Amino acid sequence: MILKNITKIYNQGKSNEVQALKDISVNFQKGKFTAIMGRSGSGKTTLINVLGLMDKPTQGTYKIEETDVFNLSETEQGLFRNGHIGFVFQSYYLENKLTALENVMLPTLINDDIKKEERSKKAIILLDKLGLKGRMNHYPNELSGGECQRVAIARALINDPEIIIADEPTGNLDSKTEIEIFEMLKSISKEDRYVIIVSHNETIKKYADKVLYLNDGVLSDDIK
Amino acid sequence: MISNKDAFILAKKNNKKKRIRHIILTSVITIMLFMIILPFSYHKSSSNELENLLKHEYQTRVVSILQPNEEQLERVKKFAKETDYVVKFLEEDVPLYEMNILNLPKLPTNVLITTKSAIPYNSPEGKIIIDGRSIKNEDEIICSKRMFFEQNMSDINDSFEMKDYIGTTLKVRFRKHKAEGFVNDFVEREYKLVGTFNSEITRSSQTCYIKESEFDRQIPEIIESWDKSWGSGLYLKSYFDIEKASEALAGISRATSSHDLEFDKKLLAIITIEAGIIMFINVIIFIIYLKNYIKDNYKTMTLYKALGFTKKETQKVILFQILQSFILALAIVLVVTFIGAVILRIYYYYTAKAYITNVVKIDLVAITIFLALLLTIILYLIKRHTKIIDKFTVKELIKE
Repeated sequence: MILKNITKIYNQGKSNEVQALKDISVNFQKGKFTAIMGRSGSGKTTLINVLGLMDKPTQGTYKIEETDVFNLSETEQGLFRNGHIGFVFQSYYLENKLTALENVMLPTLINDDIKKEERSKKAIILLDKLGLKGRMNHYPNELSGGECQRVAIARALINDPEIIIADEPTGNLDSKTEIEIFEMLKSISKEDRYVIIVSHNETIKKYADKVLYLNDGVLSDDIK
Repeated sequence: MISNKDAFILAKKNNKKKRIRHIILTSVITIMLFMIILPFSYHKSSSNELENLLKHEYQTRVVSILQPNEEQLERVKKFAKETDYVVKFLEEDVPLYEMNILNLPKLPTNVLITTKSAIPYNSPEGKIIIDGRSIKNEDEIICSKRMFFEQNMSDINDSFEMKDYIGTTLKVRFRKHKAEGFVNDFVEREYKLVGTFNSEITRSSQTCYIKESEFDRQIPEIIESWDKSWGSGLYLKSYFDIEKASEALAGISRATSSHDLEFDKKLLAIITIEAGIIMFINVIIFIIYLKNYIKDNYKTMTLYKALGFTKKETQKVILFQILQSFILALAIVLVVTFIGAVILRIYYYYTAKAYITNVVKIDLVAITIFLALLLTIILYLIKRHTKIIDKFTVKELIKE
């Protein structure tokens, strides 16, 4: 998973031009838990958009397993995202009108590789694995923050993606649950996946195999 | 690609707890439906009568001349020649044809009065058969569901049901009727009553229909005249000329027209314009509502994008969400309209002491155009307001 010379400029050529990412080049390793740390406004969300194919950079290339993903069409990128990338967000973004089980099954609705009858089986196994067997028919507003985040992790994992991108996954959780989530993500990375966490939480350093720092759009190995 | 079934189920779940929206949508659509039914259906309901009158419009603007002497007749002729708003002067007495049924235990009077001029053949087209069937052969006849013993009666107690006589043979007499009385010649024919149709309570409800070819055979004469009038008369250009002509020929004239078609046309135009304006406003409300509805779903759309849904898949779910609300709203409208119609019928039946069935007919063409228009608006708005999906990023999720 290689990003090369990624630059993202908002409002290019206008008076309010902002360079959010500045010539970022990085090589992520499979099976490793990578943390990207940075202050608010350092370009973390922009980097997540680029990593998750939610936005295209102004310049630069991005290769995942030899596929130059920026050359894919919008539809192809959607399919790629569905099969290869799992998102975990700070505020979970679970659908309130769906149960935990239905939320986890949501990405499988568009995945032709998973048969219809397999969807719920797979979701139940995942929820069980994440300790939510008894909560799968509950709605998000009936679950605790930690439970919601575990549902979101299960949703990210349901299509068996190689890449997990988590944006401040413990931002809304207490310290005990925070540790549980970090340990869970750490173990997920051991399943031969890329796990990339963007956070400003110092605790993450204890779990990350590699820590990168983002400062004013520049990515480096050191705190500046 | 998400299957239709999955998209439908997902849309149904997304629509949960959005009843207020359904109610708003329902109200808007109800008003819109009502507005479109009113002018078009009003027009359709009265179109037979109005169109016939409009075809022979001048015949409805008449001043009768009452048995003039020679001097008066010359005065009228001169007036007709010199006055630019007089279309025509008709001197002769105008006969009518009357049809009587002779062998019913309770005899209705003056069935099917016609002059065969304004209405060459009074067609049963558009009549709703209540019992039996419509006419197919020349020896068959259909009649109003209810017949009155005397003309101009509207009390239901003075009437009787014709359906009891379906299958029986009716002996019918055709007779020419002139101002001075019946002409002695008459024709009698037998017809089998095969059905009854819905009709309102008016003089013209005392109607029976036979096949057009049979009608022409029995009444071969084509008479140039106005409807339901005898004597000489002046046809005038405008409804407003009637008063002028009556005044000019005071003492020998009588205004016979009772129908201001100009007013009818204006009324219809006003109703149509008003309904059009209200409908236009409703369409705008509908568009704003849909636009906001789609925009309210931007966060969900961003989440779907993050999960890998393509733009088309997201559009499909949103379309199903809107269609589900829309179909629910239409179903509510239909039920409410049906209940309303039943209540109105019961109300009229018991309060007006009359058999009133002149209900507004729904114009299916107008409804079809209306539904197609709404569907087009829905599809256009979904396409237009979901174009932006490609630009949605994680930032859209974080937005408050």
